[in-house]
Amino acid sequence: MSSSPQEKKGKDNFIIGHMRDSVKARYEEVYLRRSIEHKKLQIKQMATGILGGITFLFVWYVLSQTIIDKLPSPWVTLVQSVKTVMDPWYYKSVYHSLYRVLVGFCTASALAIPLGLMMGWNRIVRDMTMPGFELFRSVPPVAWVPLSIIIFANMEYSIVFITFTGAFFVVTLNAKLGAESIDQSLFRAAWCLGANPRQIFRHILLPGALPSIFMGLALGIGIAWQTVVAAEMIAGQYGLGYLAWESYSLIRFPEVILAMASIGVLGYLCSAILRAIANKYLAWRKVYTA
Amino acid sequence: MAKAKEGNVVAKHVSLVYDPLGVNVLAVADCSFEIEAGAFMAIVGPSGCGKTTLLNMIAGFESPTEGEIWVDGVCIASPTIHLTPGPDRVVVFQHGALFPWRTVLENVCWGPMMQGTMSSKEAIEKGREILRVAGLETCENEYPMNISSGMQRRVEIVRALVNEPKILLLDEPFRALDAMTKSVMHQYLLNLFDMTGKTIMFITHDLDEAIFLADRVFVMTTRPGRLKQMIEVDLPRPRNLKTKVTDRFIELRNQALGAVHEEARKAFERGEREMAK
Amino acid sequence: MAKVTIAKVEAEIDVCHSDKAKTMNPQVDWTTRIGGYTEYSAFQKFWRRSARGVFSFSNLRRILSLFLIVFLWHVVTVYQIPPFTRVPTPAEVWKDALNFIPTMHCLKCVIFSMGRIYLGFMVACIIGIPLGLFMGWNRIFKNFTFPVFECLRPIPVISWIPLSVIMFPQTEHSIVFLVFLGAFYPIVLNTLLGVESLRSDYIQGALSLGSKPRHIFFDIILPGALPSIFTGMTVGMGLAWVMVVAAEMVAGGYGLGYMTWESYILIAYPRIILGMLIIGACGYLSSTVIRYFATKAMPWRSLF
Repeated sequence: MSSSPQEKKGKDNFIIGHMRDSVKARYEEVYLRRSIEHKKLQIKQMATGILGGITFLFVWYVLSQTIIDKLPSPWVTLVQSVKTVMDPWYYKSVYHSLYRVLVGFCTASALAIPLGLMMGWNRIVRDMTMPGFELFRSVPPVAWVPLSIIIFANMEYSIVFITFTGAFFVVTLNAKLGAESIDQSLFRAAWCLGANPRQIFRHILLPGALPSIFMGLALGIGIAWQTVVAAEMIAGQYGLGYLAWESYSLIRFPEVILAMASIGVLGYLCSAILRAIANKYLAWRKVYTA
Repeated sequence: MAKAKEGNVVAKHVSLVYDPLGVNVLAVADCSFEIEAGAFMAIVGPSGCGKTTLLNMIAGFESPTEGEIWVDGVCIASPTIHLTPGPDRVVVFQHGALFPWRTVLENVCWGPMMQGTMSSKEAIEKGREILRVAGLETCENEYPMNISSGMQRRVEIVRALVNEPKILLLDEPFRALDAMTKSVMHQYLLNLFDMTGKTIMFITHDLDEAIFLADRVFVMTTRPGRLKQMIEVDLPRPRNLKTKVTDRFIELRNQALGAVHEEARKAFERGEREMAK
Repeated sequence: MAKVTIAKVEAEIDVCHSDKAKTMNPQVDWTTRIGGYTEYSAFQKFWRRSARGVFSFSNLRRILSLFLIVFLWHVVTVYQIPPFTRVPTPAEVWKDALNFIPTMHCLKCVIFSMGRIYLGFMVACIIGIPLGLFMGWNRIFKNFTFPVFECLRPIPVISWIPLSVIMFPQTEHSIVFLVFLGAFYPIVLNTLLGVESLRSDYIQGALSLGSKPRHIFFDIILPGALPSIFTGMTVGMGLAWVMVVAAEMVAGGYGLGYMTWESYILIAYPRIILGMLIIGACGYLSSTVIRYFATKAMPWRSLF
């Protein structure tokens, strides 16, 4: 049954060689042309995207020269950014922001995942925690800044707390949704097969909620990045948000754009890493996704 | 495997009343039946007539408001007694309940491992053996999403059988399969039944399926469900495709067809949305 | 034996189903034989439903949890448990609320914030929804704009604050621009998702019935994408509130965010919490308004 690659190629050639000329012509006409067309389409798609990017830069340039004269032009931004990226002080800001985000995010996840799972598992826990949860969730993380400053005397802790607030509610909500979205017959089947509630929690609830939890984590870290920027702008020293605001005060406008872009890149990278981990370990996930 | 002599189910005047938000709904009204040990019983009825509720009561997910259910001389369900679901009365659900995050082998061994009756090595051995007997050893290490729906149903039935239950409860298991796969699965289920000799309770909306598979068929009315008619199916075992065209089969079918059709028409005219999930 | 049973059962069923039997022969009615089953009148059904709904254990637990939170807050602040030493007590916040909420200052703050939000949100809807629809409709346009959109999206909107202050010298314009940006991304994304996730069966059905492209757009795509559009609007409204508060805290101008930050500077701590609560309430109200419009605009959906 098994054949070596050379044999297989030989077989194909044998088949193609013995195809009637009309059939061969049709094969070339249809299949080969289709794959070439597909490649052409992909190239067109990429070209249109690049064209869109160029248009965006052009519009930026035009705006910076005419209506909004304070806006730095793309070229000036690029040159200044390269200069600043060489400066070690820039990396200090990156380090500070990253540290705050990661600490706040990890603390938030460590608390939020168990809480969310318990909320989805037990009706009593859910009823007791939902009102407070919804109450605190409706306050945007930015509005927590003054309160967190008066609670935590240390500036670092107050900013980490804001990041925590940002990520906590999203991760809890997604964990709860994940636990609630598990098909009820899975629980019943496990019950029938003789598992006690602890085993059901560990073997059914946890794996079943895992896809939603990962989605919540990816969202949470994105929101953590946004809130860290807000907190740093309002109340911080060091950090990329502080860098952005300070550069504005020092009338170093290209650096404002650099700070924005760095935050964007870092936020995207964190989310992408989480998503990659999710895809690797949740290979069975296709059952749930639409 | 030897023929088992356990799994005798007796239901006496069982009824169930739902009370969602102050509006009483009578789901099952005064059902009484008996399943002998090692027999195959089928319940046929239109959608939403309460057959799943009856099965849930035997399995232990719900408690009857009135009446009693006895299994092997022990009362397992009544308004005061409620025996929680366990591996002696395993259910195979309508929509697949295979654990998607576990491979087929892990799914099958899950029951014995959770019960703690044997070590994990023994459980895996037993699971492998029963998969081999069932003809499913090729997909041992596949995830459920990678195997066809017919194979998924087979794995589920095997997963239920591994626990050596007294009664096997099947809740419209072949509903989602196409007709060709369904006929293959019928043969498969009959082979398993002949091999293991478990008591089986099978719920379906298809009369032909019920008569082909079972020893005894009950016709259930629309909500509130009562057992309207009983047919003793005396077709010889082992049954195969040819059984479906014998005169006796057609005769049995005609007996019940009138009743089933009338109930279906009543349910249709009521125009109620399906209560079955 | 079986035949007799069947006949008896069938006779009983026939009797039950006839109306005459219900009035003349009550003892044949099987409903009285089964314990726990009673027929309720319409008023009784309504009362039982609403009473169960309002006074259910679930609701009681929820109210209890709210009381617990206020109680914990009281204990922690009155007894000065660190680190909550400077947090105001519930009593102080309540007193401040009674003083502050009826004043013109509060109303002015709320109106300023609301005005900016609704202006920015309207602009985001007016630009975003057609943009999303067009992106879903025309693939070339989507290839043209989507890469730029996706590159700009990871940049947190809050980090646009300094840039927006640079671009728009007037505070009002810069805040409205930030609100616009905050609401813009979710609206466009959800609209695009709504258009793209429409079942192709609908469009194929319309084509086979002989409709022209404009019919397909207005009668199939637009209503079909409406649920997603409203989801996007709800999310966008939430983000718009976040942006308004952040922008006001950083860049000033009257408004709820500015008031909250100002209270911190002026060491009027109870007002901070009051400000947070008002912001939360207004945000929730705005989302409710959008949900209301959503249910009105989509009568074919039972829940939103």
